[in-house]
Amino acid sequence: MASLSKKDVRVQYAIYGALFGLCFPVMATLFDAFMRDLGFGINGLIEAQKTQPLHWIINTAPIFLGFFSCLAGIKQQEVINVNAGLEEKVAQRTEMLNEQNEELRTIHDELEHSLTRISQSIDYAQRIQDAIISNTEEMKNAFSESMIMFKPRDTVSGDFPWYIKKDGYHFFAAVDCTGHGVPGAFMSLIGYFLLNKIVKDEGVTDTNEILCALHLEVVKVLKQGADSDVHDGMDLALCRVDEANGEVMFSGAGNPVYHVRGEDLMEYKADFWSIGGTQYRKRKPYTAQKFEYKKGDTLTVFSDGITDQISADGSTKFGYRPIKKALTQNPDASFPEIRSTLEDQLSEWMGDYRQMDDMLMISVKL
Amino acid sequence: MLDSLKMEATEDTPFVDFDTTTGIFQVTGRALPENAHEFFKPIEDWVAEYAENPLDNTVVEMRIDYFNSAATRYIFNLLMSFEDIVEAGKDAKIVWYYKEEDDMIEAKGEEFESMLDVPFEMKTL
Repeated sequence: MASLSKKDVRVQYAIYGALFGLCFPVMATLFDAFMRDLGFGINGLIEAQKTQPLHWIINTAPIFLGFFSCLAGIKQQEVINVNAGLEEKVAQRTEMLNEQNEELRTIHDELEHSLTRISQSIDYAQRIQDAIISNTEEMKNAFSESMIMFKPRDTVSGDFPWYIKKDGYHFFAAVDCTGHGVPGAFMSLIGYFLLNKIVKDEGVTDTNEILCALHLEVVKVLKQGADSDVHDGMDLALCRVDEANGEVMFSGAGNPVYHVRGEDLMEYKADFWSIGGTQYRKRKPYTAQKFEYKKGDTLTVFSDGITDQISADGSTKFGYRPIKKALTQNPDASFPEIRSTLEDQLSEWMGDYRQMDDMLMISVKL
Repeated sequence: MLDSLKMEATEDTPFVDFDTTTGIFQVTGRALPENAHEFFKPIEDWVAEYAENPLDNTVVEMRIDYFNSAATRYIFNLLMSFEDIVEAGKDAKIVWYYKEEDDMIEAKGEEFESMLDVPFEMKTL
């Protein structure tokens, strides 16, 4: 019964309305019988009804109240029906969402799994790259002071520092291979081994000749003929320090060297041509520049990852000025001080903007 | 005549509009594609085809805000293709726009100008 009335509130409302309506004729008849001393017996009540036509109107109260209650019940029933429909829909949607959630979770798990595997693979690759780059330890021993600021954009890097000692010369370079991440790292290995081969095995010692040879080798290795569409290659700034004669020989492909003495900075510009890559029609052999140095002078070479880093608002590049300033503003500053000045400026410059390329800067004190 | 080449800008790649009805070729925006080869290859192919039968007058308008080192190579290479058009006796010109305060884009333009056998004009934005 409860379930029936719950199912259909129209009947329920009609009954309650009619019952409430019934109170009016009952009360009115009893009251009239009392007022007119007709007695509460059945005859008295009939007498009261018969002689007072107002009762006939009052008697309709159960019908009207029942009717209007029933109307209210119909409305109520509609609300109930709509609610029930909504509940059902919500239940369906919830079920759908749950299914979709489940699917997403599966996809997420798969992605996470792939990402983990790729990351692990790249982390391992980094070990190999680190092992190669660690020969720059020799560089620390070669100069009274030296600094390598090396910030790969991803785990592995297209930039790499290079150092070798040969025939009494110290050779060092900041090499910037096109690209970054995994493709950059592949290129960096090519560059690293070719440089070693040319200088260590083949005994080429003039920096311009080293770059010429490196270019030809890269073109050969990557099969960059005239119709090749592989433009990958590298930019680098290469120095040869001749301690016996107090002389530096420099050749650059794209990137310059800064020679700092106290507050004075001399920039030796690089040749335009990148190593490998584009088959320039007008390509000329690399040139070399020689200059003398005094004890305490410093040399700085870098990749364009620092100078090309875009500002937090995405509008301008970091540029060369901050590097020049950091190197010259305080002649007594140590390399760690210069480095932290530059790193602070750079991180402020970048803000939340992503690092766009690998960054490398090498400074040595002669 | 070859159909015009049009590519919408993305966060990492510039807007490209090589219009063969007007001969105005525009590259506008940032060029730091993760895969430079993938982005520039279709443009290179298109220009190679265009160079076989170019308009009498081509103006290349470069309005680059930023490019990474890989993109630099590809852009230089792309501009070099217009040497063929000049060699073939047609008019082609490169206009390199830069913001007055942007030394690096200006320097890159000057560098390109000295390396290319194509009439080259530097203009501030």
